[in-house]
Amino acid sequence: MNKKKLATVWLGGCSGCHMSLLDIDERILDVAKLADIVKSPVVDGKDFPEVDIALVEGSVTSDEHLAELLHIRKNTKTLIAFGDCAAMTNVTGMRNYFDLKDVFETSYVNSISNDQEGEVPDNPYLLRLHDKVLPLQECVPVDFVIPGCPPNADTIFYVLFEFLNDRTPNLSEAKKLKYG
Amino acid sequence: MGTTLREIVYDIGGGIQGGGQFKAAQTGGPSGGCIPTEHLDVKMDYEELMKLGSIMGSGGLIVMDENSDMVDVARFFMEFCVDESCGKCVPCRVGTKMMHDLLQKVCENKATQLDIERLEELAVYVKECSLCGLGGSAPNPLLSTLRHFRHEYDTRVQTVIKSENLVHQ
Amino acid sequence: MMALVTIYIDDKKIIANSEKTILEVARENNIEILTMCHLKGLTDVGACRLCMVELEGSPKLFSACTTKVAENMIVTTNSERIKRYQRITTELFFAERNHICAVCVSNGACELQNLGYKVGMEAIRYPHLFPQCDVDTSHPLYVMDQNRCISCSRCIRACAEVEGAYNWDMMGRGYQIRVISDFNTPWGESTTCTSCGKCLQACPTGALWAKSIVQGQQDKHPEFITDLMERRKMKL
Ligand code: SF4
Ligand code: SF4
Ligand code: SF4
Ligand code: SF4
Ligand code: FES
Repeated sequence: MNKKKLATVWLGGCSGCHMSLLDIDERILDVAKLADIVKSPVVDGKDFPEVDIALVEGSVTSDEHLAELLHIRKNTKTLIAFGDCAAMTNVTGMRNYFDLKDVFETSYVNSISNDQEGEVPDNPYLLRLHDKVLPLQECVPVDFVIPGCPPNADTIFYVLFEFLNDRTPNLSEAKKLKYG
Repeated sequence: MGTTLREIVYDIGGGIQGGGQFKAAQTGGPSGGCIPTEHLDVKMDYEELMKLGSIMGSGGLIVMDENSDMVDVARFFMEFCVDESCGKCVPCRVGTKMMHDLLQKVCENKATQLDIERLEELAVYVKECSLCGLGGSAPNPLLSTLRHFRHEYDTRVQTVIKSENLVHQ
Repeated sequence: MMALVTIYIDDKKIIANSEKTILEVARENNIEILTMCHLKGLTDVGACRLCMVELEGSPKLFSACTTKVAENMIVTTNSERIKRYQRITTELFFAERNHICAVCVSNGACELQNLGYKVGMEAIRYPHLFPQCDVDTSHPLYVMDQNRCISCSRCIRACAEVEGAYNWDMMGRGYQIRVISDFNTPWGESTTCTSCGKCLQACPTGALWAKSIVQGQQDKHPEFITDLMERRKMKL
């Protein structure tokens, strides 16, 4: 059987979902039998190639994320929203209740450690933040969602293993749904 | 009762102001439906209007010419329902607001096909699940414009989300 | 006047007391109907629309918690349409306010979370409204967090009908409604609240909680409210 290509990406998230992915422990060997991990923050930094499965952690917060996500969508057969941030913005989206300007000023100028001396950074090389943080599904069609903050390692393995064996997982039937 | 829409608009009302083309008539107040040109000869009574997805309702009649934007019409009436919702039940309280925001998105050419599907799904849900008549009829303008003026929704849908639509600092 | 009627719920033939609601009869017969604003013991208001059922012969849906049974009623609780609507209602609960389970006191012990699992909601398919919400920490013992409130009014009814204190009420309209203490004053300044804690027990979410607990330690017992009301009905 042809080995599948697997990628994992990390957009506006905290890397917790990737930590949970590492928690599948020795079962990574079962994954490795069926797939090559061709791109991942835990592998190295080459361009995103064509893959069968992509686990995308985090929400879309900036131009860079959006461009990356559109590229991933084009090159991926099964795009999986990985974790609560990717699925419903979660903690990353907590800035959505406020004006972006206020968020900037709170973090760079008014935070106590700044003694009012900080300034809002304005460098063309920095991320251009969107007004609102968006979950993946608002930007591109998503094929599958693993909720959880972070998702359980068992759940992650279950989903990967099903997809790698050309089956479609069902979290609800497998009693593996979890938020938070 | 029983007079045709055409008679009301052209004979009784004296036609379209400024000589424009008839495009649609909204009957029954803010939660009624829109009737397109094909049905100008509909007899104005409860059953006939019901068949076209509209109602007699308050008896109000708004006639629109070819310059009217039907999605915006649906959005306008939804805004009214958002304001009027008492907030007791979930379908109407959240559903009307959600539909309004999605319609706004369509008006601003920022919506995707997914948003149209959401609108269709929500409209039927709010209609069937709301506690009282306000929520029960709030989706009518949306449903009837989706039914008779579907192309106005479809032609505005974006296939790819654009970065400039996401507003920057 | 009480009478016995024959009804059918999901093809099960049941003889029931005509004074009862479809929901009561279904639960007595182990037929599950999802609910949120209903709490046994409190007056039913039919506000969440989660308990909608189909009645044969009517194109309309009915809320099981507020509809009384009647002779020869044929009730369907589990059609595809009902399931679809239960899921939408659940999604709207989540999308309306700010439910960040990861940082919520009720995480792992929340009626709303459990509802999501029951309807198989892996993601919320609607855009979140992201309203700006207040958190009232003025009460010495308790917190009211509007971010997690689903406006089910169980707290209002528990406070009024069980404790008799009438501290809570609902303010505003539409999606801007808010549960308020007294006349929209800080809970800590309430002249009516007796600090009995009944509203906390009645609340299905992480909107009302005691300061003595931390994230993930929520342990609510809405059945206390039901118990209390059942006991009050007993003649000593
Ligand atoms: S449908 Fe009626 S009861 Fe429900 S929120 Fe709307 S106005 Fe209130
Ligand atoms: S109230 Fe329940 S659903 Fe809402 S954030 Fe808290 S745990 Fe999650
Ligand atoms: S603690 Fe008791 S008296 Fe105070 S608001 Fe809650 S239910 Fe009412
Ligand atoms: S505070 Fe709790 S009980 Fe009260 S309306 Fe909100 S969710 Fe319901
Ligand atoms: S439980 Fe019946 S409407 Fe809420």
